Amino acid sequence: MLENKNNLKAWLYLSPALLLLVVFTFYPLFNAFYLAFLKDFNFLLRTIEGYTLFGNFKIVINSPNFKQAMINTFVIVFVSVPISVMVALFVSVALNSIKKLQGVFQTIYFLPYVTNAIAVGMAFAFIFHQQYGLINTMLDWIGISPVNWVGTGATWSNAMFSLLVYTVWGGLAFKIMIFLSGLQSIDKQYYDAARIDATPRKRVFSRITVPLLSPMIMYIVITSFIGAFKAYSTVIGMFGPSLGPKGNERSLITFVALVYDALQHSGSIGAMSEAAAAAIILFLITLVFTLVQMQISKKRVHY
Amino acid sequence: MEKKLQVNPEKSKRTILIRKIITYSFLVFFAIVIIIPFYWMILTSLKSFQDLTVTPPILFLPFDRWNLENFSNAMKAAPYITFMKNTVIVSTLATIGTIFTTIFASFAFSRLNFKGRDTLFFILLSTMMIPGEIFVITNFITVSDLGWLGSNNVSQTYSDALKALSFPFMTSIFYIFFLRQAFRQIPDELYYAAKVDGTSDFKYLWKIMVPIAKPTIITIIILNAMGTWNAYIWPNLVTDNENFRLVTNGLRTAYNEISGQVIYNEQMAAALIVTAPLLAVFFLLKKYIMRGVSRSGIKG
Amino acid sequence: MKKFLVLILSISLIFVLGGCYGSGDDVETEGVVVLDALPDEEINITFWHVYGQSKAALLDKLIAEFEELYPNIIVESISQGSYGDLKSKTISSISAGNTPDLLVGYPDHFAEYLNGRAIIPLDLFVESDTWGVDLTDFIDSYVEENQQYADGNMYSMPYSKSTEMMVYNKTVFDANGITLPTDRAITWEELEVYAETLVGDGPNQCEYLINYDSSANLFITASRQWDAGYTNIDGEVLIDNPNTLTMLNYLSELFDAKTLSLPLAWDADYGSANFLKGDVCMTVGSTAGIAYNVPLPGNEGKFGEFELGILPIPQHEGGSGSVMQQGPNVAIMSDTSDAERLASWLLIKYLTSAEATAQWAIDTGYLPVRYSAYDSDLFQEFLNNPDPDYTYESMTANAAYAQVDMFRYDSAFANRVTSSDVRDEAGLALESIFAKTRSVADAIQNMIDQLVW
Repeated sequence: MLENKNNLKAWLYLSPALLLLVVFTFYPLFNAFYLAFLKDFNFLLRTIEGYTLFGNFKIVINSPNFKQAMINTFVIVFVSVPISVMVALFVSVALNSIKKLQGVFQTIYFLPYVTNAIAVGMAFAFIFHQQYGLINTMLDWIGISPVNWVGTGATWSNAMFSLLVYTVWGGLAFKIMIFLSGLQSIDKQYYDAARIDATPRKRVFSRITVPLLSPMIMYIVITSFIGAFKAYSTVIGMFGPSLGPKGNERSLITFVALVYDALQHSGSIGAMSEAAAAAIILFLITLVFTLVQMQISKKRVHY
Repeated sequence: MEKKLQVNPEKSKRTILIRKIITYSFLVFFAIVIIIPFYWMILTSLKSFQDLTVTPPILFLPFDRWNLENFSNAMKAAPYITFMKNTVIVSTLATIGTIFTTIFASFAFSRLNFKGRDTLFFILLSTMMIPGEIFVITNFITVSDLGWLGSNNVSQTYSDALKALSFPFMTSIFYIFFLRQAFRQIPDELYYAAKVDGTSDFKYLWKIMVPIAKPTIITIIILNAMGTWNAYIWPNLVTDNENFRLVTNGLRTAYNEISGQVIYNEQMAAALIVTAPLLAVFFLLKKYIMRGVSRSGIKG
Repeated sequence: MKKFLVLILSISLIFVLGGCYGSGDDVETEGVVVLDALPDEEINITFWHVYGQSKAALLDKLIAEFEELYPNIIVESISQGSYGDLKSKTISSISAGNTPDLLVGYPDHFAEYLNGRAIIPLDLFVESDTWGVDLTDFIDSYVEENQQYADGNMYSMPYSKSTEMMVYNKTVFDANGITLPTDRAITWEELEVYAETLVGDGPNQCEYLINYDSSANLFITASRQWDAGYTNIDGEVLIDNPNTLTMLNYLSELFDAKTLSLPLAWDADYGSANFLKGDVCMTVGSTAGIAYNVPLPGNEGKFGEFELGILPIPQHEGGSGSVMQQGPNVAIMSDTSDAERLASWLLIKYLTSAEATAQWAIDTGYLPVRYSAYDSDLFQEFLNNPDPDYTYESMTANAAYAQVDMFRYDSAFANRVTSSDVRDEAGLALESIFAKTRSVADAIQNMIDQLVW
C-alpha cells in the first residue's frame, strides 16, 4: 500500500520535468534515432524509399574522416578530463581553505564563464602564436626555439596539445564552481573533529574531503566524460569551422563534428539518417564508458 | 583516553605560514591563467583600430590610448537594449521553470523510493550522451506545430516567441542530476525525524532540503541564466522578428554586414556591455554560495 | 536483464513514435498558375533576406515604393542574419511547413530546396503577356545560372550580383615605369614578367606581386581559364584531369616565385590590410569589397596614401576568358497561394527593374542585373562621371562591366556532396598547396577523397 502511494507521489513530483523532457528530449530523440534506419530519407518532403538496418552506419564508418574523428575524440576525452578534474579539485580545495580574498578569487575563477567565446578564442590564438605568443616567449627563456602551435601548417600533435590546454582551461570555471559549492556544503563538524584529533592535512583531504565530496566528484567526472565525448565547440572556438590549422584543415575533427556536418546537409537526401547513425554510434561508445564509471563509483561514492 | 593537544605552537605557526604562501601562490598562478582571456577582452575593447592590428600585439594600453568610442559605436550597431530585455525575460522564465521542475524531480530521485527509479534515472542520463544538435531540428518542427512560430499569414507574436525561446529550456537533466547529488547528501536521519514529527514530504522538501541545498540551487540559477545569455543557434532559429532576438544575435551579426571583416574592438566592447548584467547577477548571488547552513543539533 | 528489457522496449518505442513516412513517389506536384489579374483583397507576403541594418534600410525603401504601386500587397521583410543561417532556417521551415513566400539565396541553396520541390519555376511568369519580363535584357550568364537546374526551368531571378576585380597600386607601377593596359584584361603570364621588376625588398617593390582573396574562386576561375574540368550539374567532381594538374602546378610556381599570394601569407582572411600596408602590389577581391582596398589619408604603410587603379582580373594567355560571378538570386517558394505567388513575382519584377537594379547597384556596390540598367542615364553617369565620393565604386563598376562577357558560374547541385562542399575543398586544396602542407598531387587526391565516397 505504502509502495503504491509512494509510486504515485513520485511520478507526481516528476511530472513537470518529465512532461517537458518527453516533448523536448525524448520525442526528438526517438525521432532522430528512427531516422538512422531509413533509406534515402528526404527531410524536406518527409519521404523515404525503404528501411535499412546497417546501411547508414556503414556510410558513417566509411566516411573519409571517421577514423580521425574517433582518434581525436578519444584523445580529448582521456587526456583533458582527468587533468581538468584534478586541477579543479585542487584549486577548489585551496580556495575553500583561505579566508582572505576568497571572494576575489571566486569572482576571478568565475570570469571565464562570462568571457565572450570569441574573445577566448582570440586570446588563445595569441597565447599560442608562433612569433609573439606567450608560450613561445616562455620557451625562449629556457632556450627552446619557437614552436608552430596553431599557425599555418601546424602539426597534429602541436595543434592537439594547444586544443587540450584550451579545453582544460574552458572546463575549469564550471568544475571549480561545482566543487566549491560542494565543499561549502560539507559540515564543519567533520573538520573541527579532525583538527581536535590533529589529523595531518593529507589525511584530512583523502579521508574526509574527498569522500564527502565524492557525490560531486562523481557527478563532475561522469558529466565531464560525457561532455568531452561531445567535444566540438572547443575545436570551433580555437580553429574556426575548418577544424584545424590552416593547411591542415580537419585534422582535429571530432565525432560531433561529423554529426554536425551531416546535419548541415539536411537538405540532401539521406544526410539526416547519416547524422542519426553517427549520433547513435557516439551514444553507444559513451554509454559503455559511462556504465564502467558508474560501476566504479558504486564503491567509491559515499552519501 | 587523552586527546592529543596541539604541541609546539611555534612550529605549527611557521608551517601554517608556509602552507598559506604555497596556497596563495597556487591560487594566484591559476587566477592569472584563468583571467588572461577576460583581460584580453577588456584590452581589445579599448583599442583603436590602428592599435588592433599592430604586430606584435599591444599588451598594455595606457589611459590616454583608451578608445571609448568603441562602446558607443557598439551600442549603435544593434538594438542591444531590446536584445537584453528579451534575454532577461527569457532567462527568468527558463530559470524559474528549471528551478521548479528540477527541485521536484531531484527530490523524487533522491528521497523517494519508487519502482523504476534507477532505470528512469539511467535513461535520463543516457540522453545526455547525445549531441544537442540532434534535438534542434525536431524541436523546431514541434515548436512550429505548436503554433509558436507564426504561420502563413499571421506573424509570430512576442509571447509566442517567448514561449518558443523558454519552454524547451525549462528543465535539464544536467541540473536534475546535480541537485540529486546534493539532496542525497542530506542525512536520512533528518528525514525520519521530520516524518516522526508528522511533516509532509512537500514541507520537508521546501522547508529543509531546499535551504540546505541552497548553494547548489544558486549555482544552478547562475548557470542557467548564463546558458540563455550564450545561446545563439536556437534563438535565431525560432525568432523571425529581429526585435525578439537575444544578445548573442547582436554580437554575431552586427558586424558581418559592414565588412565581412569583423571589427574586433567594437565587438569586444559589445560583448562587455552584454556581459555586464551577468557579472551583476553573479555578484548579487555569490554570497549565497558561501558556507552552507551548519547542521548543529542533529547528533545525539 | 532489466536493462536489456528496457533497451528492447526503447527500440520498439522508437519505431512506434518515430512515425511513418511515405515514399517520394507519393508527393504530388501542382503546376504553377499565373493569375490574369491581381486579386483585390489584401495579400500578405514574407520576404527573407540576409541584409544588415544599412542595406536592409535601402531594401525597405524600395519595398515601400513597391507597396505604393500595389496598395493591397503588404510585404514583411525579415533579415535572417547570414546566408548559412538563412539556409538552415529555410530547410527546417520547409520540413515544418512554415516557409516565407520569397527569399534570396545562392544557387546551391536553391538546388537543395529543389530536393524538396520547395521553390516554383518562374517561366510562366517570365513569359506571361501581362506580367512578363524581357529575359534578353538580363545579363546572359545570370539567366543561365538561374536556368541550370535539371529540368531546364528557371527557378530564380538574378538579384544582387557581384564579381571580382583587380585593384593595383598605381603609384608603385608608375614608379617602375609600367603602365597596365586598360582596354583588355592582363594575363598571368604578363604578371610573371612584371613580378621580375616589382617583387623584392626595394623601395618600389612589394614582397608579393598579387594577392587573390578567395582561394576557392581562384581554383574555379583558373580551372575554366585552363579549360580544366571542375564539376557538372550532376554533381560529378571532374578535377582528376591533366589540365587541372597543369593549372595547379602553374599556380604553385607563381606561389613559389612570390608572384601570387593568398591572404594566408599573413594569416588573414582578406588581403586588403596588407595591400594597404604595401606588402603586396595588387589584389583581387570581390567588387562588393572595394572600400577596404582604398588607402585613406594618413595610410600607414610602405607607400603611404597611394593611387589606385582598378582593372579586370588576370586571364590565362590562350585560355578561355573566365571570371567568377557571385551574389544571390531570388526565388518564390511553393507553399504559397496563387495570389501570393503573383504578388511575390511583382515584387521581384520591381526589384529587378532597370531603375531599381541600377539604383541598388549604385547604393550598395553590387552590380545591375540588366543590360538596360547599365545603359541607363543614371548608371552611365555613375560609370563615366561619378560623384567624387564614389570614384572607386565607379571604377569598380567599370571593371566589372568590362568583364561581363566572361562571367561564369559553377554548377549548383545538392547531393550528399553539394556544390558548396566542392567549392570549400577547392579553396582548402589551394591553401594547402600554398602553405606547402600538401603537394599538388596530394591536394588533388585529398579533394577527391573528401568529395567522392
